[in-house]
Amino acid sequence: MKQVAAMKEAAETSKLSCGELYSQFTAKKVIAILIVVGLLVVSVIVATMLGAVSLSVGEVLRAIIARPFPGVESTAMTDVIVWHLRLPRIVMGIIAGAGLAIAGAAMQGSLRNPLVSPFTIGVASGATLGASIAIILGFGLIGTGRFVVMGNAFLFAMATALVILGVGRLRGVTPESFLLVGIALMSFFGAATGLLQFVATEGQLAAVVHWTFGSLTGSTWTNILLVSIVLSVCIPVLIRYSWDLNAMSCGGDEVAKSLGVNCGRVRVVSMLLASLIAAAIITFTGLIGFVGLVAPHITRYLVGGDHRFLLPGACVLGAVLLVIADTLGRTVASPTVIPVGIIISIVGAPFFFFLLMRQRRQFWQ
Amino acid sequence: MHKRTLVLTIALVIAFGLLAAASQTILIIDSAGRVVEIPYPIERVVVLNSGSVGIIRSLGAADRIVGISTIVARNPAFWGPIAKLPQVGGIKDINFEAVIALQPQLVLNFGTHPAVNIEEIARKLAPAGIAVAGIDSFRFATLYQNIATLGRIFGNIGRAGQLIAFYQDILDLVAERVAGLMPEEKVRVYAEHHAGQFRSFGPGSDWHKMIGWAGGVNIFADTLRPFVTVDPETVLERNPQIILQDSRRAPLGHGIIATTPLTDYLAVFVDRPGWEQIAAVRDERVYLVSPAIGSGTGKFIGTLFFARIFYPELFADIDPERVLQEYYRQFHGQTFNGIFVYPQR
Repeated sequence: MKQVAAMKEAAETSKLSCGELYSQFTAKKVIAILIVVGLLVVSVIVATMLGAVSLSVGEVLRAIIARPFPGVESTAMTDVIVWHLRLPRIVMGIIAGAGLAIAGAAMQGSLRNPLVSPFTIGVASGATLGASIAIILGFGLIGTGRFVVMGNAFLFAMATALVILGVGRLRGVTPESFLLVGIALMSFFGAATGLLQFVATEGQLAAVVHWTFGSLTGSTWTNILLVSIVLSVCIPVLIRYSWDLNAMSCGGDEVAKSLGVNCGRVRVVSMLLASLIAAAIITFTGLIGFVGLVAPHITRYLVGGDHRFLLPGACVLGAVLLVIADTLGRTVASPTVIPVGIIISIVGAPFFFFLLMRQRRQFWQ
Repeated sequence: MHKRTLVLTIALVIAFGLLAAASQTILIIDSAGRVVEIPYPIERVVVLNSGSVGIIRSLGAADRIVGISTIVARNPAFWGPIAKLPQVGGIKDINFEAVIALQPQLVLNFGTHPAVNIEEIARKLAPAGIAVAGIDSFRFATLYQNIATLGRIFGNIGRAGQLIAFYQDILDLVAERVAGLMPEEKVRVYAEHHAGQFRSFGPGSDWHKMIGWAGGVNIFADTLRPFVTVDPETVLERNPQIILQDSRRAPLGHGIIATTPLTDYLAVFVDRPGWEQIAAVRDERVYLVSPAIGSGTGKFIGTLFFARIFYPELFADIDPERVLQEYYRQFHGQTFNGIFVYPQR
């Protein structure tokens, strides 16, 4: 609202029409997002070239081209490294970063709270409890063998989201009720996981801890396909809600209602979709937390709080952050891999702090 | 460990033992470097770490254990009647009231395990007049000292000496046979920790030592920490000839006889991108190792198992399984059914 007033004022003084100014205004945001897209392309190319095994640019390119064009020569080893180890983790990095970032942005917008992310409202704690049950008690509701842990993590994360929504609906779909239920569930799941760890053997405990360090190492094309399906359904719906989220986050529920927004429905649907996205990702990667909180804020700093730009912008920025963090994690101490969840917090938190310190205006609102 | 150190240790132990016989208490230095005054002789002891329980049973003093931790209670196939003793919680979540109720003279737990603060346990139990000592009983570097100390505490130094000699003979035998290997003859080994995929062992870990003693080359000898998560690319590039898993969660160990679940477990274990190209997988030299021979005092005989896996022709006349059963018969009073390495060849 302040921005609109500022624009009007600017229009009066600069003799440009409001329409022209508006175009300039949005053009800047589009350009900012395009720059981040460029950054993503660069980081993906660099990430594909870098790794514990030193492959030349030519070897990597040949391995990539050899699949669609069998005429090109490439060794079996390079093919496995590029197609089964590097590319899956990079692509998973892109979609996990994008998904967690848009989930965070949508949750923050619909609950009008800058502190919310899939991790602060219990979805991740639910997934951890599900994984712990599978690892420690050997009990799973769906899947067999190694998929039991994933199946349980996903079911518990989704069950958490449904409980939050159910209670939220019962008690009225206000942001406060969502947050409080989420916090209560988070403590409950944390305690239940602690209780399980209490009875776990040393081996099981180590496996749970290993699971909670988020990692892209286990990424496969099948996992990527499954997560992509979830994302391709959920993201367009969230982006379609941009105007509604704008109304809710700018003026609150009162203003949004007067503009004809069904706040309850928007909130419930966007929370559900954001939780679904987060659950699908966490299932395959373990806990990668910080990106869901910080990517929306950095994007807000770049393009402002308009969800039409914020949501897609956060997607691209989240992808960039995760790809860079994972590349750092597997190259700085090679052949040791530092889990991406640790890198993103260690690099991301100071960067976020730096942005907060140098901001001239309040970019939350 | 050198023979000279061994002789010196045993001599010291005997000297201390003679001193101890004269007094009502003995002084020991535990794994945490604490000087602990312990009543002598000890009749009632609560033991939390399973490594110490094993050594105490080998010393013929199992009847003096009055309380155990949940860890020991979980493996009744191996611990027999000891597993049925009253439990006082886990190594880090001790129920102090339950400990005091058992009226022990001494409580033993890990001394340098990251989850255990032995000093704090000692402070809690001091008012009840209970001595607390941290005896690790799981690290190669200090195992002989630990055995000697427990020998002193339980007044059976001779037996402690026999146990140390048994272990050292195994290491000497292995060292002698692999000594002639040229660097290019040594097998490349990838060992995976039980916590998860691509969690491996670096220098400073006992598995790194076992691989080296058994004449193998740990492909991650160049990492910086004892336990590291490694890049899957590197495993392919370094192309190990042997793959070992420290299998805490595979259906292996004492009392296990079924091999079908192990075949399935192994098939899932090697099903990773590009692994069909790794020499160890192609040649079917991928092994699951039970904690019975991959942890605690089991690691001595574990080293023999490794050597036999690495160089079957050098150790053709030695059956590690029989050595293990002989050890169980001599030092644990019985033999045990079980699968300790899979596949068994």
